[in-house]
Amino acid sequence: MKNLYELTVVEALKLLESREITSFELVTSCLNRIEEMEPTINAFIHISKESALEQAKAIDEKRAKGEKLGRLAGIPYSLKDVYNTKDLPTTAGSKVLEGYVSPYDATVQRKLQSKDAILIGKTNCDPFGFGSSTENSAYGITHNPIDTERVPGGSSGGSGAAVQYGGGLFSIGEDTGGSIRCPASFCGIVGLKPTYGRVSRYGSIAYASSYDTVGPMTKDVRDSALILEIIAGIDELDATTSNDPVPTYQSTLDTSLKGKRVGVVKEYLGEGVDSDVKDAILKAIEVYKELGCEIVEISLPNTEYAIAAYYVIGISEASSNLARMDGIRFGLDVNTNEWKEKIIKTRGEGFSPEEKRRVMVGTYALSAGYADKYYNKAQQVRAVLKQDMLKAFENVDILLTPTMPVTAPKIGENTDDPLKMWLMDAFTVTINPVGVPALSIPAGKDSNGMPIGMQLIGPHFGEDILYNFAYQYEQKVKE
Amino acid sequence: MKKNITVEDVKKIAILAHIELTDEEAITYAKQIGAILTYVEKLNEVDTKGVEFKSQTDLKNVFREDIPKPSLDQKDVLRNRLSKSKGGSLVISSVL
Repeated sequence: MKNLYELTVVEALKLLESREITSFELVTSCLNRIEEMEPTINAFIHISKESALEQAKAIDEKRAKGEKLGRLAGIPYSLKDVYNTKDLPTTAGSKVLEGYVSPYDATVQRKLQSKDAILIGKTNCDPFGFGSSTENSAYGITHNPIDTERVPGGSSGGSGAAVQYGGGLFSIGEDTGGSIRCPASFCGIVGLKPTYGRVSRYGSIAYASSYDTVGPMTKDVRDSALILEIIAGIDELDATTSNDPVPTYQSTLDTSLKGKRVGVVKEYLGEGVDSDVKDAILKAIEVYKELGCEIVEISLPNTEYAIAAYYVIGISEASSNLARMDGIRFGLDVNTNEWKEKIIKTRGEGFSPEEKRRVMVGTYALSAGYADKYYNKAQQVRAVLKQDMLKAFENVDILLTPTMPVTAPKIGENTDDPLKMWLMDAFTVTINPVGVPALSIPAGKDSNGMPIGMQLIGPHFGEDILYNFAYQYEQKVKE
Repeated sequence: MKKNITVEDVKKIAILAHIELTDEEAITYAKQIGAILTYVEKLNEVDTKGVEFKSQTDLKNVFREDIPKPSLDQKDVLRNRLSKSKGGSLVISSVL
């Protein structure tokens, strides 16, 4: 029998409902696992041990009395530390928010709590999501549990590591340019970046408001579908949420893929992609052929410009969003009496080099005389990227690409060259400006035994299609 | 085209961004920001004549009734600076 922390959400729910295990046992198993792994991994910024155990006991008692329970009753999970959680610290991985205790819950937290899921802790991340390695956090580097000398990916690296090693059965990450998909790929788990507006962003500390998405990080595809069913939907506190009904994603997982069309983006298998990663994707293509799919070569001709457009808009929005980090109402409190000095010092001391760099480039890109050249031009290129993507979906049901061109690098390998680090995100950052959903699922391992992720991209609000394709692949390679 | 950013440029940007920088930091950022801006210059190669970005999805004009509802508790909102709040307001040093 598996250790309890190794269970998927769906497996654990069955055992809880049949009373073969209690939530207290399940939460205890995850907490023990956290205690065992954290000294080497550092996936968590905050662990809610006592409240998690109390909540588990209360749920077990309710279950024993036969009371009605939520759909995730007794399941321990973690949240990336960008989600506001009432009465708990929320840092966004930044020193500038040190000491901040939120007065309210993010919508995603409220929804999970209303289904009786149990928050076990808050996970480490690059500050405000700025990074692809979780090496920039003010609360230490997170290590990859599969090889502790390597990064877990980022920015939701703590969530990726925690789900991989069993520190909670799932996590909620946040994806602005790959921050869910990159750690999912490097840690060998499933991570969904939903369609923009599918899941409420209320209470998620903003990086780039027109890119930010809230999504599940899970051990398998079915768990991801289940969690999305719960967290998706319209929210009056986020005017960008869609009122399209939320499908029951689990009900279409078994649909046959016969005759469906998979687009393979030729630009995403070219130069700069590791040969092991490329081989894994070619193998996945064969699996889809066996499942009866037709493979169509697709071109996204402006991919080369997508990274530049992504960064110009992303950091422009970030520089604006981070203007509120001034030390006046919350977070780092620098002791000085002069108001302007307080703001400048708070940001000087509180921001890491990556935060300073992005805020400054964003400030420059929006400044008088440059906004047309950088920000407005990038928005126009974004429109071209969206046209390219919508055109691709006229011919195919999904697109198939590597999630990352490489597997998890060693810690410290890329930190001196920010531009190189940015270029590593070529296949993920191109998705957020156009708002479509994308899912990263494990697709084998490289010669060092590190996981390779494959990315499935769908049309707007096509999460059901992604899950169907991902589940069929997952089951086929399991055989 | 290579974009040169001087240390003086960086200091000016830092003032606009309200960030205190050391001289050493300004030298590093000048090099890095120059490289980043050189890289994004390539956007000019894309023909975007008559193209306009509207939104990611087709959602538009989201309205609701303007009905007052309870908002966050004043005490909760001020608790991150309790020592600096007075009578339900935040006390800051004088601006003028």
